[in-house]
Amino acid sequence: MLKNGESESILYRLYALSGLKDALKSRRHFSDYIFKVILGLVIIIIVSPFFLILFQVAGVGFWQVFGTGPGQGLEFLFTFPGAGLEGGIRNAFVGTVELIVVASAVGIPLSVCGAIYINEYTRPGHVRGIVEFTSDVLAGIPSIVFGAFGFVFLVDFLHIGMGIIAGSLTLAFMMIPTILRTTQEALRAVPMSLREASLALGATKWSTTWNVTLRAAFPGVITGFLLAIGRVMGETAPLIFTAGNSLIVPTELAGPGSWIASMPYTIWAYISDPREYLQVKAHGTALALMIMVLAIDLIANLISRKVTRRLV
Amino acid sequence: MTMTEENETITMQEEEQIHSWHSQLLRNISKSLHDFRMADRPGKVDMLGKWGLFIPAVASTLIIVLILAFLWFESVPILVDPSGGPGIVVSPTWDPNRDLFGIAIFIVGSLLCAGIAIGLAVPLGIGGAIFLSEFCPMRLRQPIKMIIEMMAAIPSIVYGLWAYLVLVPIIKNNIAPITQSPTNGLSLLAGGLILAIMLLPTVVTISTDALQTVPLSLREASLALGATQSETSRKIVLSAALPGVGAAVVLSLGRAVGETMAVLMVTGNSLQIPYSLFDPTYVMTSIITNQLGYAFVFPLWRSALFAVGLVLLIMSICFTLTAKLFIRWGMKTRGYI
Amino acid sequence: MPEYEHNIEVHGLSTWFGKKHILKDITCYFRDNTVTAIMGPSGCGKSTLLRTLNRLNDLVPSFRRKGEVLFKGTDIYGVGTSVYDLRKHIGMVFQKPNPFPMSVFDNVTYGPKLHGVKDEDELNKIVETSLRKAALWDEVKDELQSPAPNLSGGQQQRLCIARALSVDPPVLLMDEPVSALDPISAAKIEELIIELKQDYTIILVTHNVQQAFRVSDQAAFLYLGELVEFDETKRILEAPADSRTEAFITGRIG
Repeated sequence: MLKNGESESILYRLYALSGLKDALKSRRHFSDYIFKVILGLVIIIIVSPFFLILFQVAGVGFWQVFGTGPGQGLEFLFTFPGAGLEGGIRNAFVGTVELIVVASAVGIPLSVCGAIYINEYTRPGHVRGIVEFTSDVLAGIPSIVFGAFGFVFLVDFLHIGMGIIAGSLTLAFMMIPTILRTTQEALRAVPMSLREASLALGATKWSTTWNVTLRAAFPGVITGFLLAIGRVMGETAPLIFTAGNSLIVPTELAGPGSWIASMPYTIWAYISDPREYLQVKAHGTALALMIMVLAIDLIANLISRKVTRRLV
Repeated sequence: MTMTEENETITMQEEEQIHSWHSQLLRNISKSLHDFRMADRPGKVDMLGKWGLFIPAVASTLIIVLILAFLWFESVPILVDPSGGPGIVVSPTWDPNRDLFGIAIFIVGSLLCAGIAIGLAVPLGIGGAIFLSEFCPMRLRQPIKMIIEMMAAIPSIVYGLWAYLVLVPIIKNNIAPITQSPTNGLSLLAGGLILAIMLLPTVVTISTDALQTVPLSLREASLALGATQSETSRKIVLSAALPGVGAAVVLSLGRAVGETMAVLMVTGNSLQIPYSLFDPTYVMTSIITNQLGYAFVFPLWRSALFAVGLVLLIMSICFTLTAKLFIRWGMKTRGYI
Repeated sequence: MPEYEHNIEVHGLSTWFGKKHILKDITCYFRDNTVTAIMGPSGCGKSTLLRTLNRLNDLVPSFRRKGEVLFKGTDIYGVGTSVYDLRKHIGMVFQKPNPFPMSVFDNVTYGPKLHGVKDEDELNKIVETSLRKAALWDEVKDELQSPAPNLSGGQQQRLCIARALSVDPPVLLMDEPVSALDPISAAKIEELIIELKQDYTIILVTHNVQQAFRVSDQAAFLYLGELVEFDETKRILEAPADSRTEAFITGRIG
């Protein structure tokens, strides 16, 4: 048995740090140790695909996005497709941005207002229950079902036709549940006392909601926007039958002139093509898309972490 | 004199009329201004707010109803057609040229793929969640959580790209030769594996949250009885978090069945029921993606594809419902989820 | 004659959470078949002291300790000690009732099963004796398979006591066990504690002077991490030697 003085030596500390000291005491200590080691390995298995995917996508696509040659770097994002490796993916890049902007313009007000209504103007009960339930169902619906619905409802039934409008409306439908539920969570986290303080000053529910509650919940609401945008930005399936595809940026709101390309769709189209330069371009597009999506996700993460830290 | 009087009376009358008209307008304007100003008091604008916000609130409900309605009406032709009928869900032959629209192989393909994915992702994911919530050193927890959240954000087309270019060749060159199965790598196994990878973030994140809501006092009670940390996490924490973990599993099952692009790219899309892991398969989402573009001018074909969509929709609604039941079970038996 | 005098002895114990010095050079002992009350205002370190006795503080990464805690003459923080066996011998009851989300029966058998009891009859016997000792048997004997969280608060806490007794520990740590309960359930549990001291060494953390007076034989008064007084309860409460103790007893600090 070690005396107290010895337990301070460096070797002993390393030994203690490895956990082996305890593991060898009995069978139960040992199985506890093995269990922890196995779980440690499991977590490595779980996160490793992230690095494998990053390695593949960045390995081939890095110079497309960060290089300075023809069709690389900014030229990759901002020139239209050309022959071979020349030209970029301006149609897809601008297309994705336009789709997201229009989808947000429709989806964000709709879902924020909806969240305000069910959180501030209803008591827990039927209306709130139904809206919460249907948004959860909506969040679980496969993206291809959204695509098929967008096709049959927007393109066919409403005669909007394929293009930017149908595509971004379909994406807006997909954004609603995410934003609605995160906004609702954010509103719910605003302490009741804050609302009461405003109401006690004689403000109406309306102005309390807009000036006090929503302002307090704002970071949470922004997180919801970002998460929803990040999610639909990478969606391919809903766009296949609603947005069409195009080598240029849409110039009209209806008809073939409104057909619009997107980055995910472009990746899909290029990757199934045997020509090698298109594969390289697919990787470049995938890398650019990943960077955009992950950056948005990261910002959302930072905001929500900052908020929780402030509240705690 | 009389003229003037008359004139005067007329003008007075007119003036009165004009005046009253003016004052009415003024009164109206001031009233609405007043209303607008007084909008800051309980009453009208609150009502306006209430009803104006009601419509956005029911938007998601409306969309669900529309999706259900359109998928239903689009599916009706095949469901009432003598060559189709509800029996298509068990009929295995899909041949649009002969008007045979059995969708059983797609359902089987989807369920097999999802089954493999769940079988891999759930044990690993729960293990990872236990590690993150119970044993992970504080300094590592945040970065690992962040990577896992990023994995959930990677677009499925990127997963598909990686699976198509990396995973499929590995299966073809390294895994299949072990059992000497002839395959080009595009297989049920590839679909199941990439789905498992895509589900892991969901399973880990939701399960970690569920494990972390288990009160610390339960862990302490178990440890104070002389349980090891691993015994505590398996027997107490996991069982206390079971409803939440169950919800995570069901939700990820829903995602597995509904995943489109990545699976489409790696399963080979061959109209057959797979008999081995290395056989190609065809899932529900893939058949819609691949054929809706051609089929929409053929009423029956198109209708059969929407029937597949309807099956998908019903399945996803069932999964959401089941997840909700798990959560309700947790609230009822544990008081937390 | 064993070489140790008391089941648990504490020698020069100091603890830290990070840089915060919680306990300052505590030396005391806990007699067998005695209820020792640890009193003091909130934040004085009484819970920390209790949790140091069964090494539950080990879970806090920033926890550091100096000094010895002897259980039956061996240092519980010594290299050879198995913390899991130690906790088998030192039971603990918590402030809030915390039954596991499983049946009453499974709650009580959880501990014995961990420590290798598999025999069905033996487990049944353990359940009955433990529940009887915790004065709960008559109330739940017909619903052993019902979920424990369905019991009332007082019953839950007695179940937690039964659960702690199920592995037959000589020492029982109690961290304000009645503070979350209604007065009637609290009185029942106080009665129970007095009964249990015939077989166990009981260490009771309490905030409540009256309770210490009713239940305990000897008492320790902690103030800001220092052991101010340690003596027979009666003596401390009737004639406090230190002005801080007096202030606490008369309700001026709390």
